[in-house]
Amino acid sequence: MAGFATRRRRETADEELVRTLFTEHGKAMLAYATRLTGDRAAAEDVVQEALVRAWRHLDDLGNGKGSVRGWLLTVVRNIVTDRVRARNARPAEVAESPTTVPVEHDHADHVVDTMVVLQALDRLSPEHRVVLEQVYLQGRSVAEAADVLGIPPGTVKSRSHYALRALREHFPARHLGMEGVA
Amino acid sequence: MTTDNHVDVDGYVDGELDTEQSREVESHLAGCATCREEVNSLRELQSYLQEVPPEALLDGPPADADLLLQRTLRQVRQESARTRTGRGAVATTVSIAAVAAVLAAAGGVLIGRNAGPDQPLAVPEPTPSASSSAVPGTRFASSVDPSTGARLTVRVEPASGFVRVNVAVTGLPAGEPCRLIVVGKDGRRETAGSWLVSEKGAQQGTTLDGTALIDPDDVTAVMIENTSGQKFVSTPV
Ligand SMILES: [Zn+2]
Repeated sequence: MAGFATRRRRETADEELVRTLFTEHGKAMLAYATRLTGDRAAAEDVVQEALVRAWRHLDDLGNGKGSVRGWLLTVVRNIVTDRVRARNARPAEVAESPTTVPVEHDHADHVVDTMVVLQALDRLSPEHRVVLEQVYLQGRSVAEAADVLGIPPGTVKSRSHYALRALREHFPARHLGMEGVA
Repeated sequence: MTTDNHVDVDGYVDGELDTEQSREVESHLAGCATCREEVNSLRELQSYLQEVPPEALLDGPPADADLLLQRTLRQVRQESARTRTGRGAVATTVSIAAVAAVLAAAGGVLIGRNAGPDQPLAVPEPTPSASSSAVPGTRFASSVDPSTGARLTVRVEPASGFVRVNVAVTGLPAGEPCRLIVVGKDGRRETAGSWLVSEKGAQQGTTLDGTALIDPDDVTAVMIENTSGQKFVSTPV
């Protein structure tokens, strides 16, 4: 508590929000930004901007941890993408910093996609969720996932099949090309 | 939709089949719309999942990044000071509501979770979100329980087949494990959230967001009780 007492000014709700986002999602954001930029200092700038944008657009963040994280990570990517675009517009600096960001995608689509996916994952049972995380997000083979999770490969397979269908149940219909169903 | 009896859709989608098996599946798909849709939908889900970066699985704050946090807070502080002088109190109200939503979303539903006791919120009495885009049919209600002294103010916003609730509650004892409960007209109760009342929440009140699977038209009351069922306050809506 001594640390709090010495902090002179009051923390406003705004600052508290940003602090909370940082505490919950900062590691994911910074790791992602670092991979995309290949540069820790640049990544920190991107994370700072993403957090400030989050604070400016609170209404877009959605409900649920998955949705908030999806929003933040997507914004991280968009910022990196925009910076790459801006740099590419100036030929002298093109070769400066190679990046792995795909620049051809449309921003808005990705915001929704990542948010929706993480939100849907949140609603799965832990058994189903971890299998999908291992196989798809981490890109592990069935054998590797089986090893990590300590279950037989056959179970990884069958669980991932069930989990994929369970995930579909938590997906808004409009995201699976079935307009008008919902 | 079950395709158990047709072909090995899962093996096909996972790319586990050999050439001959794949060809078999494909010739079945050519004539079976059900399996075709199943394959398309599973593939679509797979592609969505593959687009999510693996970093999404990391939790918590980054290591050695306190300066980054401080820089970010400073920027927010400066911008919010500018906004306040420009737009008066409106910005603050909206922020509080949104902060509540985000904190609720983050799993810890208490405002003030990360702040010390010396740092009251900008608004001492919590109020439910004054949403800038109020959904038609949104209802507000407020009650004080005469015996416990707890005050509950609620906003019930209709969604399709369920309701979003935002509440501000004061007068709860610290350390109490509480539930936010939405009551339907048939007496059905749905828990819209649960939390532990912090010191700060006890002193200054708590703002919470939740959802409950009760038809908006059927909601009759919102209440707060502890996990052993002792009621602190209830308000008809
Ligand atoms: Zn079929």
